[in-house]
Formats: sequence, C-alpha cells, structure tokens
Amino acid sequence: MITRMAMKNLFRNRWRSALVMAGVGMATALLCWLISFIDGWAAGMIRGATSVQVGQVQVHSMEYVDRPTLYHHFAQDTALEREIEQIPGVGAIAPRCYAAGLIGHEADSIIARIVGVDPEREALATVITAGIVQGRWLSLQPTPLSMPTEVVLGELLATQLGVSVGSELVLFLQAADGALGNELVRVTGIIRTGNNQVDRQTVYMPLSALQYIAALDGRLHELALHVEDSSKARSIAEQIAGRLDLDRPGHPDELVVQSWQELMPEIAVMVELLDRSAGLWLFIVYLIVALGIFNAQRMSALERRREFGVLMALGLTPRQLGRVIITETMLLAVIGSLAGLVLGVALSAFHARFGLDLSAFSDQGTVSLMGISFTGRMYTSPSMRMVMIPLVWVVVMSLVCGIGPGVRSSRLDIPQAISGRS
Amino acid sequence: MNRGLLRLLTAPLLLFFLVLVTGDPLSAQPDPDRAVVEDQGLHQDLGELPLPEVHAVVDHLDNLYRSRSSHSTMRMTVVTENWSRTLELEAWTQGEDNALIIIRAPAREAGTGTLRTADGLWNYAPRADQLVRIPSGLLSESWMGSHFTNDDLMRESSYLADHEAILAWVEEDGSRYLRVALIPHPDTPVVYTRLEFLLAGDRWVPIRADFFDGEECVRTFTFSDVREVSQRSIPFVMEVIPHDKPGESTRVEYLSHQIDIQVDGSLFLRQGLRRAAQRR
Repeated sequence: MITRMAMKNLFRNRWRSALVMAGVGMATALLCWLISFIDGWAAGMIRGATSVQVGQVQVHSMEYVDRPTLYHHFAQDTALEREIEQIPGVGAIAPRCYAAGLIGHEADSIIARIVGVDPEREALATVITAGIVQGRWLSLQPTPLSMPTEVVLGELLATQLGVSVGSELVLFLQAADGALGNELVRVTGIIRTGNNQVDRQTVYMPLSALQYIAALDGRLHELALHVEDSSKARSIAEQIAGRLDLDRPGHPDELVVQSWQELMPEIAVMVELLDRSAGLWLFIVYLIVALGIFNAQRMSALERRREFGVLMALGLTPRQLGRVIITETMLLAVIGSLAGLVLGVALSAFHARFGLDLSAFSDQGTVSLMGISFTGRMYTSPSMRMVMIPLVWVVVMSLVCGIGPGVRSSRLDIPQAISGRS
Repeated sequence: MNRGLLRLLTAPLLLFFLVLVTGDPLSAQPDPDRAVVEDQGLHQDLGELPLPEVHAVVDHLDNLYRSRSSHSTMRMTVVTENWSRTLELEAWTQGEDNALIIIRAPAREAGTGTLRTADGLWNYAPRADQLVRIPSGLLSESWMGSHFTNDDLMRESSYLADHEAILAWVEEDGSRYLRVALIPHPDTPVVYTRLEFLLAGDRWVPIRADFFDGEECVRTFTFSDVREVSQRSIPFVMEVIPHDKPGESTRVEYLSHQIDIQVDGSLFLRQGLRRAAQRR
C-alpha cells in the first residue's frame, strides 16, 4: 500500500518528479561513465607502462637490481621458466639480455640499448608486435649464418639514423669479457609503441645473437612475465619468489622477483591517486544531487502538509506516513539512477569500443603522461564496479534525504496541519 | 650507461693519446734567452730559480702532439672492475688531422679500427667492412673500452689560445719539476676545470698530468720510459688512472715507434684503410 501511495504521489506532480529523476539520472550516468573512464585511464597507464616492455613481473639477479649493468646476469634455466609458467595467471615469459652499443653507419651513429629477445616469447609476453609500423617483427627461425643479424628499431631511433626497413647497420658493443664486438645487422622492422625509451633508444635483436656478441652465452639479465590481471602481479611475484627460495641445487645466482608496482612505483602511485580522485568526484557529485533531492522532497512534503494531516486524521500512522515519503524519495532516486545507469553504461560501452578522442585537448596528436603517450584515443573500461558503486550511493543517499522530510511530516500536528496554519 | 663511467669518460683527455700515437716529442726547444721571471711570488718557494716564459712552455705543450707523420705499434692493457685484457695496436698518423689505429690482437677483434681525418672520427668494423661515424655527441664515450675517450683522439682546443697558464716550480720526491696549470677559458668545450702538467728537465718532458673537476683530481696520466727517437724525447709508456674507479687503469706502451717517415696518404681513405685492416 505504501509503495502504491508513493507511486501515486509521484505521478501527481510529474514535472517535479521527472526533473528530480533526470538530475539523479544525469549524475548517475556521469559517475558511471567517469568510473569506467578512470578505470580505463588507469588500465591504459598500467598497460602503457607494462605491456610494451616491462611486463607485470620481472626476475633479475640480486646485483642487477642494485646496479643494472652488463655484468650482472644469471644462468638461463628452462626448467625454472616452465615451472613459473605453470603458476595460474602467468601468461608468458620473455627471457632477455641487455647491452649498450653503438649502432650506425658511415654518416651517423648513436648509442642504443640493445635488447636480446626470444622473438616468439617476446611477442607472447608483450604487445611489441602491435607496435610495428614498418616491416615485420624478428623472424621466429634463427637467421641463416650467411645473412646479417635481424634487428627491429624504435621509430625515433630509426628516424635519427635516417634508416628504414632493409637498411644495413653496424653495431659495436663491448662484450662482458671486455672484447669489442662488431656485427653487421639488418633492419627488418620499425616499431612505434608510445613508450619513449623503446621508441628512442631501443634495438631488438634475437637473444642468441646478442648472447654471442656480448659473450653472454646461456646468461640472462631479465625474465619479464606477462600476467593477465595486472592487479594480481604482486601475489604472483610472491609465489615465484617462494619457489625461488627453495633450495635450487646448482643455481648459485640469487634472484629477485618484482611486480610492476615495485618496478614502477610512480605508476602505482598514479593509479592509486586516480582511484582516490574518482572517489572524490563521486562524493562531490552525489552531494550536489543529494541537496537537490532533499530540497525537492522537503518542498513537496511542506506543500502537502494539509493532505498529510487529512491522511493521518483518517488513520494513517506517523510511521506509515514517514515510510511513504522515504519510499517516494527512494523511488525517485532508484528509477532515476537506473535510467542514468542505462545511459552511462551505453556511453561507456561505446567509448570502450570506439574510444574517446582526446586529441581535442592536446596540441600534439598524442597525450603524454609520465612518458607514456596515449595516442589521442582513450578507451573506457566498463566493469561491474561502475554499476554497483553509483547504485549503492544512490540508495544510501536517497535514504538519508528521505528521512528528514519523512520524520518531520510524521510529527505534524493534525488539527494545525488541516487548518493550514503550520 | 653507467653514469660513473660516463662521468669519468667525459674528462676530455685532449690528445694525450695522440701524444703517444703521433708520438710527437718535444720538438720545440725552450729558448733560454726568453726565459724570464714571470711570477715573483711563486719562484721564491724553490730558491731564486727563474721561471721560463709562459708562452714558450704552453706552445711547447701544444706542439708536443704534432709531427709530420708517424708509424707505431703499441700494446694497450686495460684493467677494469670486470675484466682486464691486452690489445695490440698499430697506428699511423699524418699531419695534424689524419690518424688511423687498428687492433691487431686478439684475433677476435683484429681489424677493428678507428680513423680520424679532418672530417671527423669513424670506427671501422671489419666483419661488416664498414665505417661508422662517431658523431660529436659521442666524443666523451670510451674509446675501444679503454679509459681513453673518443675525444682524446679529436682534441679541438688549444692550450695556448683556450687556456690561461700559470707556471710554478714544484718539488716532488726530491726532484724539481716545472708545473704548468692550465685553466680553460669559460667558453672552451672541455669538462675539466684545471689541468696540471708536471714537466721534467730542461727539455720539458711531461711526467704527469692531472685533470681536475673543481678541487678534485679525477684522472691522472703518467708518462715514463722516456726514449730518444729522431732526436726527440718521447715517453714510451703512458698510464691513465681514473680516480673514481679504484683499481682500474689503461696502460699504453710503444713496441716500436718511428716519426717523420713516409706514410701512404691512402691509408686514411676507405681502400687503404681496408687493406691495412685486413693485413695480418
């Protein structure tokens, strides 16, 4: 009966009800979309920071963590890698070697970061192949001896050297034993990843080739792991560390496992900050909406004092009256926010699919944040979060807003109210 | 790159290396008649000994590194924290600009070379048979993994024109030396703040050079085993000691050294370089 009365009451003043609902709906839609946008931003940031190169979890030798140099490496151990791959949530493992080398030709050269990768596993563990703008990724088969070693260059590095796919370059690098290696290499691909370090300084070459040139046979500097759910990186890192702690006969290298949060604390802080700012937005928007609802309900309750007096004279208890008013408020809020959710979900689903063009806000084509550029399009990341959080807030808020007018109306003095004197 | 290493390497060594490479020895003899007392305050420290004329000494240092031509073989021993190794090098110079250094041993690196001409500096990769230009931005990088920098092969500044010089007599271990402190003028593209030579004897033979960054001595070159070649006094051994890398050093010694001989100019062109590099 109370719900029916509440509904009826709402329909009696359609304009007011519709406006309040529209307000709630817009606010809900905005927040719903905002949450997915911020989640998308955070995910984009984590992805931008980790997916190209870092991965979500890395393994290094202890000394390398303190001082990343050519000389701090560990023995490649395929059994260990297989064991790590078995851990649920671990996608793929990319073994790597790093060296600094001089790469160039007769007219120019540059000091680059040479990354030795297993072409197949690197492509599985990272999104590197998606960044190829010219040519192709390193071939999965070993390069025939008669051919120059294949390399893939960052786009800006290639531009600076003025080379393109098919160009031959010379690489000089100091091997771990001090020898000065020189190698003819051939550009098979050029990548643009949005990651400055990769695009400006990095040269990818097959792991075995770099291990040979740098006198690092069977040694690695890094294992980069792809973890499907980046929020689980920490617990997976701990699991791996747990296995490494077990006695490993014949493996003297002391290894350290780190998640992306430890590898890039600044990104972790940014994500945290974004999340908190979303909470703040939520609070502010709902505060404004709550004041609006509160005002509307108070006005409508005051307007109807006479009517309420009659209802109570007819036998409606104060408790029932209060519940009618609270129910009205909740109906307004819930219906409004459901409509808003539909709109918000639809909008964020649209932006999740097609992206939001941010280039309007930036003079350049890309928006760069902390060295990670977003190529002008931001994709929202819809989840249950963006439905549940606004819904819970709406229910709580409408309860709070309804209680005031409800309690006040239930306390009215019947004769005074009917006579219209209060 | 390792920052410490880079810092170390940025101390521009000027052509010390070429001292050895071109081996040019004290060709400019001091003129005793021009030696005048420059600084009353300084010479009191060591008796009433007059100081030579500043210009003559600095000009002598500048010319120390120049000869018409030279051909030499050297042994270079590099000791670092992570490895130590010995290279055998063969080098030619011609005039002020042309120099070619080729690694002869060990076999794995044989043929790798560095070419310097008036147009710039190149590394030669024997496996690829290609030259790679070293842009000016990389001059402070290590040369062939040693404690020399590429800049050491490409000295651009002049002691006389780009530095202010102060002479003093100093005594070390009972011997008397002429100390030349060179302070670069503000716009000179060098990274040291002061460079001090110790010169021995009447012929001003360098025995040591200290590079300062502020008040701190960051790198020391020592010269020893002075021999007479074509009537010039040439230190046959030089050692570089970077002070921020304890235990590390690079030592170069001549195995043979000829100066002012006929050097084939085509060595400093691609074909000649290739022939020289591939000869064993």
